Amino acid sequence: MNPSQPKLAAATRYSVASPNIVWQAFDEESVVINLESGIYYSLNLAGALIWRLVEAGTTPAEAAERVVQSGAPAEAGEQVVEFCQKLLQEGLIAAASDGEKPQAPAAETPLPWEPPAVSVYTDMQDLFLLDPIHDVDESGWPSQPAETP
Amino acid sequence: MAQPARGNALSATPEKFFAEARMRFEDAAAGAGVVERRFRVAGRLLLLRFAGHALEERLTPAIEHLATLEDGTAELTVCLFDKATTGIGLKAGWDASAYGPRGEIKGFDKARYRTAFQQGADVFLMLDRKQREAVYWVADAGEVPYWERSFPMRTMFHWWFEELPLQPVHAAAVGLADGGVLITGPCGSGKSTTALACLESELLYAGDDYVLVQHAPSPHVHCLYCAAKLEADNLGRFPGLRAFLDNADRLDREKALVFLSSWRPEKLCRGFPLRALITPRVTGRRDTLLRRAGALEAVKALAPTTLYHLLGGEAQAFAKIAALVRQLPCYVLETGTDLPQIPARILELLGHPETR
Repeated sequence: MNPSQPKLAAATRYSVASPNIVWQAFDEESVVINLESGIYYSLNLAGALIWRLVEAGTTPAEAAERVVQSGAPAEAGEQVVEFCQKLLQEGLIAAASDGEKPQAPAAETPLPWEPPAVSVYTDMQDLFLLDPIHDVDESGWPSQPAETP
Repeated sequence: MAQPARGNALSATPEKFFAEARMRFEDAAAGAGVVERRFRVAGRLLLLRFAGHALEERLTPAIEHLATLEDGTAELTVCLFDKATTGIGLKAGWDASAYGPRGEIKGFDKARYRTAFQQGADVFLMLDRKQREAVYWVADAGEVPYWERSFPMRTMFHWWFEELPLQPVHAAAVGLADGGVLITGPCGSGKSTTALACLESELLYAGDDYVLVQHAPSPHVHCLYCAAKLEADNLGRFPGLRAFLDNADRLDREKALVFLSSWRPEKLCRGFPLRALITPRVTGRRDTLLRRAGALEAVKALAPTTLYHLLGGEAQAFAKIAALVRQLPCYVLETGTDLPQIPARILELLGHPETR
């Protein structure tokens, strides 16, 4: 792992990193969109479960324990922590502030177990990455219009 | 025309700024005259009050098919004016640091208000939900770009319908009176070509770039705009279209823009129930094929591009899009060069038991 990348602490509670990250669940996958970066993600069933657990305040270690206890193989625990590390690297989760309490969501571990996976899509990124507005005209309106059809 | 001395100070509250913008409109209308136009959008009455004809002539062709002469209380009144033709300007009530990257204005986007400056089109928009009134201001009506003319006020519609099961989405739609398809995909994915290819069939047109979808009580699409946009090098595929172009003299720098209300009015419809979602893929092959796809395909094609374009309420908009996608089968339409095959495949799909 790149030493400059944030390192996950398995016993720490995390939450979704920003209100600009939105997500929805579908039958087979969940989709997460980072509205700031334009990058969007699909999570498989196991990934979506871990996402829900972490979002609800479950620590990575607790999530790992939960999936193993519910019938996933022993190596699933490590996969869960690695998956959370990936979410952290992508900036999708961040350490939760004190005072946020876990609320265990009613979600079943998908079995037979498949390792949690996240696919990253960057094809919309150019559209989202606009230059911040720095300059305004004498009336206060942005003076460098973007090419935005 | 004299410019009033009135000016809006920095650090105005949303309440004060909206009141100021409304007074500015009244000043503009007092000089240029009020032009009132009514439209029915998804069954709801919209009143547009223009200061003079300049913006009315620029913005209403794309929604002319929704025009109505009926009276009654409008559910939303929008006051529209520009500085160039009325002499009435508007000063921002915030400094440069208030602008978000997409033109949202921090501190002016509270529950009652939505406020944004749409870069590119250079449109200032502000909605007061409580009063059900909005202001639309540009510096120069003559400089409103062709794309804003093709989907005027799309962000305003997004805000207006925020609390309802309605959502403008970046998609096309074609169908029959009893059911049709939503055609999803970002710019350049083939939405317009697919929708316009269907004009030569019995399929009706409800939009080729932005449409209004409803996810409850059942999936439905409402036609919002009658403007179609095409890359100029695609014009040859649609004989007869060139004579109706709105911007034939600017095709070196603009997509071709045509209003179906003048070109093919008989193909325009108010909307229809939705039976399926299709995502076109341009293949370059002759034949058009349809294959079943997962929901992810439609979500990827529909959500990021829509959420980027429409400012504010993204989580709620995504939830509405998701609610729609969960109710409909999804397909990929591998579009070929033989255009008649495109409506043929869609008509076959609409006759398929899975979409009934």
